[in-house]
Amino acid sequence: MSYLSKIIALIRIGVRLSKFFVTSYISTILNSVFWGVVVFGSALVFAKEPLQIVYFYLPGLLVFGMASGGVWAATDYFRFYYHQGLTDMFLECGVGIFEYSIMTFLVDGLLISSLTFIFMLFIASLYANVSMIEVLPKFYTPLLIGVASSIPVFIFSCCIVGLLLATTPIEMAWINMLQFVFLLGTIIPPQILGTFSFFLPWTIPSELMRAAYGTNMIPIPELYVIDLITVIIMIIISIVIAKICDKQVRKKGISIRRG
Amino acid sequence: MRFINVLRAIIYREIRFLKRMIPEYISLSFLSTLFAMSIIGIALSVSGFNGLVSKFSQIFNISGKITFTDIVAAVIAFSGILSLTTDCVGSVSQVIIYEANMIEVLHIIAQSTYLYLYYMAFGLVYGAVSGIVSTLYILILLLMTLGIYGAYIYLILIPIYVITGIALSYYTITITLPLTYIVKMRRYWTISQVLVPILIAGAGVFIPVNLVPLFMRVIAYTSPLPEVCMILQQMFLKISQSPTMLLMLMLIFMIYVGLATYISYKTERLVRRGL
Repeated sequence: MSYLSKIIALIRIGVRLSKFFVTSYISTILNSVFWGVVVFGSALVFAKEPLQIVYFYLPGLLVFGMASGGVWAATDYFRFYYHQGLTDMFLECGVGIFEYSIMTFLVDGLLISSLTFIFMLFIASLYANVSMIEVLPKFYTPLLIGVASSIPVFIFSCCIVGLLLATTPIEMAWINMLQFVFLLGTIIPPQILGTFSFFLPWTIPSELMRAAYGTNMIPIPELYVIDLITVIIMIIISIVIAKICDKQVRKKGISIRRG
Repeated sequence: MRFINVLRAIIYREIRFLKRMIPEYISLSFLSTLFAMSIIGIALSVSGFNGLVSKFSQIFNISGKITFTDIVAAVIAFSGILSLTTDCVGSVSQVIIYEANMIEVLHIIAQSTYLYLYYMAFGLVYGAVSGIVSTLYILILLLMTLGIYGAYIYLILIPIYVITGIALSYYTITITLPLTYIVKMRRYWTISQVLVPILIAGAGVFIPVNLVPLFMRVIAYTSPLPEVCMILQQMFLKISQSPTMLLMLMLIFMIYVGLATYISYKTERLVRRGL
């Protein structure tokens, strides 16, 4: 089985598996959209120029959604499926955390984040009292590359949190807080955070999303090159982390809180 | 078992459970603070200090002078509704469904006392405990923002949070009991996952409710939140501090007590007829 056909097979399994959780996906989308509305809706009302918020802060929402989706995919793998007795079965079938992240990125990541982003744009237009066309992206090439580059962000966050969940008895409340680290560089742009944010790999796909609205800090040609390098680095790090994670799980089992 | 005995049993249980819930409360406080500060931060980055202050005064129709510190304190105080709603609606719905379907303590409760007494006592105790514990971080933040005056403000706010917590618990009981015993919902977490943000977004919380799009307000109006947020905003920003506000709060509270009692009583009859 070639590597490409293995990836396609994993994606197909992931899509089939997702059919069992349609209710959860709908509730996740509604949850993300309405929590987003609590923050952005209020900020749009308080702002003198609401469209500036849409152009600066909202583009990072998709990449943040992907990173957050990766966190919850890892949680599903090491907590939800563990309680169902399925994690061991996945491991025996050769589906480690890296393979699982490839299995789930399409629905858990891309579909949910994109729908959340679109709904948020719609509601933002209502709060800003402008037409939907004004809040849509202006340049589509960086947008498409940004969306594609956000897939490694999902895989990266899934593998990192997977290692954390597999090796420590961390509670879900802390994981819930941990996912907000991904706010830095995604929703909070480098214009606010400073150059520090460029050390965070998920900033570059977010910067491409901002480039779709013309609010990017790095010029577009350089951004494409940096993005390619970042994506390769993220995938390599994810593979290394996933290997360490699988090795730890095979050696010591999954560390989980008892009682 | 009389109501007072049920109440004592539940107070004992909730206080024992508090220790287990500490990480949840820390997480809730962190997230509510993050949300409140994000709103200020995002609006500030676009409008600047003066722009934010003038827009805030214009939105809430404040005639007197207001400073940036006042706005920060107000947003912190309003953020209490976030943690309170998340805790009350989330935990009350999950406990009801979990007890009924999974851990089978329902039979033990039904043998010891009346179910409606149990649910009424549970709503009362959980709402009060949550009203105090989930908003404790506000005391720290108000002390940091307003100094010792912040503690005085917090003492005024605490009764509002407690009454809101109890009203929200009874509201959740009213919604969750039919979903548990009639609809027999399996994915119980979807209630808290969907209901909490819809209620909060629909009620406005940080902004006047009339600025929220109508389709979002519709569901929120079934809960006590829009009225509570309005009362909190008017009292905190000194727009109106008449005693009618407290009377209105008590009226809302009574409505949800009545509704939850009726639904609990009906559930009791349904369960005893043969669950």
